[in-house]
Amino acid sequence: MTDQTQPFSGRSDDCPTIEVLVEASSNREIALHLEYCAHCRTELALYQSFENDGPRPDEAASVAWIEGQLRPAFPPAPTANSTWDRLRAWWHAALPNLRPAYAMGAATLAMLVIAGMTLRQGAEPTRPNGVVMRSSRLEALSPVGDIDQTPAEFKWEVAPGAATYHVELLLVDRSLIWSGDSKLASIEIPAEIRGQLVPGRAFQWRVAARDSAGQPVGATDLQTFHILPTRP
Amino acid sequence: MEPLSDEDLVVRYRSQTDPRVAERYLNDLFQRHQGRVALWCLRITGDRNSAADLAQEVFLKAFRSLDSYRGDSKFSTWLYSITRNHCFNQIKSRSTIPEDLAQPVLEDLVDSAPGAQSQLEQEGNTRLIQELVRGNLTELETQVFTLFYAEELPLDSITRLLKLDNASGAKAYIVSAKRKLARAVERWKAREHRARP
Repeated sequence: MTDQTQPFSGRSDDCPTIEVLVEASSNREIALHLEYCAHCRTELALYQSFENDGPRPDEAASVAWIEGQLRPAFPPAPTANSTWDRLRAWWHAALPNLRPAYAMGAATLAMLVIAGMTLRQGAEPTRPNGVVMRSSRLEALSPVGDIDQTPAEFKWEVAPGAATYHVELLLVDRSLIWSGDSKLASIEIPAEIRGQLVPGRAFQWRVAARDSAGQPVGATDLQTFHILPTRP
Repeated sequence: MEPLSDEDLVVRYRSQTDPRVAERYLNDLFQRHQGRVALWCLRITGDRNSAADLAQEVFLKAFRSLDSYRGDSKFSTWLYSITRNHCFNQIKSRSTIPEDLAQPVLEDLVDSAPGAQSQLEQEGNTRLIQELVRGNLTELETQVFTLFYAEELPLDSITRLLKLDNASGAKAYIVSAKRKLARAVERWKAREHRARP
């Protein structure tokens, strides 16, 4: 195909980048270039379409669906400035399909229940010996970032007091691919799951540690790894 | 309160030492542009599953390249470049050219006149062709022609990107453009012939 179309190469060495092209209205030199260059006029038309187009009626549902696939990967992070903010973030996550008024009512009810339980149990959950328990951040070791090969296992740092670790492997839209439990600070990825970890895509994983009583003692942040595409 | 601009969000993301807060700025930034990236990917691929994969890859690439954004241009312009380049590269690798259009565009049209090729070379192929395109094709034909022959995009993608509503989409524009260019080249050859006794 390249040989057949060689005479029409489109872009020339004179062609500016799109960042420069968008200045055409205020730059006479660029405006003159645009008048002459089919390639740049096409580029500018595509850029303007990207900037200004909304979906047409026959595209709207698909665009909404795609956004829905992306949205879990970019959740609105809770500001956590106040109890009310945390509560609002919670009802967004827990009750996404309820109308706001009902959801806020449910959230308020939940807050009252939680407040009651907290009053009965004390401000912090405690171990029998009275030591305050707080789950802490756990360090994930591998795989993280760009990697050349499909990983064979997940590894993380040992959490003090941890008896078991629960591991989740997710797509970047946060849908679960696989989960497993381990008593060590690593877990092997089953072969059938490794087969789903295709090069060129990104995946996420996280670990939650619990003590022998089942209480959380630490968790990793969500980790992302990307298996680089294999070269032909 | 005025919402932060895209560029402000990038600045705050970079200067934030708390990764959770930094992630919030990044999420806000990317969410603003989800719709346009999704639409672009849908028009490129024509199916929502592939488009969702493509859009995800675009955002991943943008995230990884964020250090290269210097703030000289709008963030959306920078994101457009990433979206455009990634989508074009991906779709080109899957593209096949229809057999009836898989013919040389101009080299077979400019072949018979003695010295025509060398004259073409002297004047610069690209420049001459640009002049022929400019002087003979409509703006829409020019855009279709450019995307098909220069960018090597599939006809279906071009049809959707340029929102062409006619029955045969981009293909009709290619056929029409080639016919016009063939006539233009014949005229050019005739002029050349008269100029060289």
